Amino acid sequence: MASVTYDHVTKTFGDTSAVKDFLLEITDGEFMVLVGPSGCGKSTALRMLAGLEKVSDGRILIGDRVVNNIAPQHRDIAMVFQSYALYPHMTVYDNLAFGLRNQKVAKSDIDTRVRRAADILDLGQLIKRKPKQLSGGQRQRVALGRAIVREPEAFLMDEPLSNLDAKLRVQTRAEILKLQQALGTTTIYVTHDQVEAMTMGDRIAVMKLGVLQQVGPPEELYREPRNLFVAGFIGSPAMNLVPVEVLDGAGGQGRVAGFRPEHVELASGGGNGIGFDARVEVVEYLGDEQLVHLTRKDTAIQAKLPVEEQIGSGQELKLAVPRDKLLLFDADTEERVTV
Amino acid sequence: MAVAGAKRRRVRGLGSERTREGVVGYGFVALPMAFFLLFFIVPIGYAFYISRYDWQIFKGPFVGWGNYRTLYHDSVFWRHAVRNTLVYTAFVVPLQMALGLTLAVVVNQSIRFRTFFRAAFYFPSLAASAAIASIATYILASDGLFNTILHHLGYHHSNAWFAQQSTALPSIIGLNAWTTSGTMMLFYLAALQAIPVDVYEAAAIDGAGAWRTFRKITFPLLKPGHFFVAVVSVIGALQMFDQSFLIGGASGGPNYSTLTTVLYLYNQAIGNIKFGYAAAVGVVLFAFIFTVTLIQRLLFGKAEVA
Repeated sequence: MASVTYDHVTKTFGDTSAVKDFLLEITDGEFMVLVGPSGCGKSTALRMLAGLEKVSDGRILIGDRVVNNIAPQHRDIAMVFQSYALYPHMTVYDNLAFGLRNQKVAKSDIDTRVRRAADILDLGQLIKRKPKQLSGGQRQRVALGRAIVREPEAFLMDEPLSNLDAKLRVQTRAEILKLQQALGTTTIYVTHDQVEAMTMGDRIAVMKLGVLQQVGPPEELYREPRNLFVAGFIGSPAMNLVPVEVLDGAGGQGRVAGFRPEHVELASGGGNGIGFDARVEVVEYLGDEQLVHLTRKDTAIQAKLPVEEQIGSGQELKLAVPRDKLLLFDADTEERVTV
Repeated sequence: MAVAGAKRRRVRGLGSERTREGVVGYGFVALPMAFFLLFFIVPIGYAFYISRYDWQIFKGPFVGWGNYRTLYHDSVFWRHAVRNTLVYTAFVVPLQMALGLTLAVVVNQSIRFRTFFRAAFYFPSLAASAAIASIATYILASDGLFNTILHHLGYHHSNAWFAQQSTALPSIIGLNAWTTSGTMMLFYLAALQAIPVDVYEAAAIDGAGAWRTFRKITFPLLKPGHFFVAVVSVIGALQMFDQSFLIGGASGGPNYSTLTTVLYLYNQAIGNIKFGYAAAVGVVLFAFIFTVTLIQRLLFGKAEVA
């Protein structure tokens, strides 16, 4: 196991910068998630670490070893691909053993390690099958097995769950987490799904257009987003981001007010909150609560309210947001400003 | 009732649309199928028909299996034409495949002037075989370029390669392996590009070097490509005619050393005006190629699919 460092790393393709001056330190054993919309440079950042893309500028370190000019096979990392990238002509056993055979590990050791990995991932019954005879979830487990059997310094995972259906995705998410915690291997995990990022990462690095926006533990990103992009990207449903003029008394000019749907309350009169009226457009029943779509001054606002409240379309509601839950952003710089 | 009626109308409507689609579909394949029938199936049947007659320029008396019986006892056919064709096929096919695969792997790399190399390697396949054979005759002449190079390398060979019984067929094998390698390269290139890039990336991360990746990943994943190239190349080799004719003449000289089955067929038909007998040669060759292709399909036909 080892730490991983991106030291001012840049990647350009022709005139386009895919990753710009990327600075990130991932500690030994940490589960780091790189998240952002497609085209934000997260996969490119991961592929540079794997050695599948050349670094245009800056350095990448695994432990204290600069790996810029080291071939993928000598970086001692393992990668799980979005497409699984299993070897279609090999059995599950051979898929798992291939990396170890390349390292010239003794046959008996290979057998022990492959069988142990197969046990951990519940692949024992499938060991003689070929990838085309497996389901998506089973292929995914083989891809994970191929990574863990190598006992590498770091796991790199490039959207490994995106080809699975919703139920299997949640299940595999938990399995990967459990596995990583048991092995304690440094993991860099790329996803575009902020829910995946929030539930899995020790820390999350949010990227946009090749630029790192913010790094921190999930709670920090959720509570203290540094800018409008992170505020809007992290959290589901997304944070309400409205011009301050929409909320009387939110303060300042040229500001954007941000507050989460779950922090909107039905006003009971008095209190320290910022009160406002809004018209109900649509109500989505979620079981334990209801997501209410509202408009105020032609601006859409979402609120998560208790199911006990009888709310219907067209109704005028008196609502409030606690002052301490309100975030303000500069409309020009998009950076957060103190209230 | 009204609902049921509407349903029935919809079903009937769908049926007629299907019929219309079917008619259009058959319409599209009708013309190529007509060509196929007229220029492939009918001639094969007609060849078999001719082979049962003592057919010279015009139809002669019915001889039944007579031509086949004669062919069975024809020592020139078996000891030279068939033997040479089999030897030629046995050597030229692996050579063509190895050359084609090597060239394809080279031009599949991201190297400078890749397009130029692809065109250059493919060029011999485009050139007319007559032109290539003529140039090769000069190069492999007793005082030709090849012997001069050998001389400079300290190996003295003074005979013309095509004129010697022992070297004529091997020279044609070498020449044809080279001229067809461009086409084989093209087939292999298509097969190589069908292998997903991420499989190579996974192999690189799994610690496989270039040679091991080729041996353990590329080569086995090319199985459908190997099959296709092998079939095309075996069929081509069993039908070899032009180089033998151009280099060894109609007799397949020197001393039958370059006589092939198709050249023998040509000699019987055009040289001896024995169309019935030539047709019997053609039918035997067709049956042989058909059987070999079937065996190949059984051996390698089950391609791996990711």
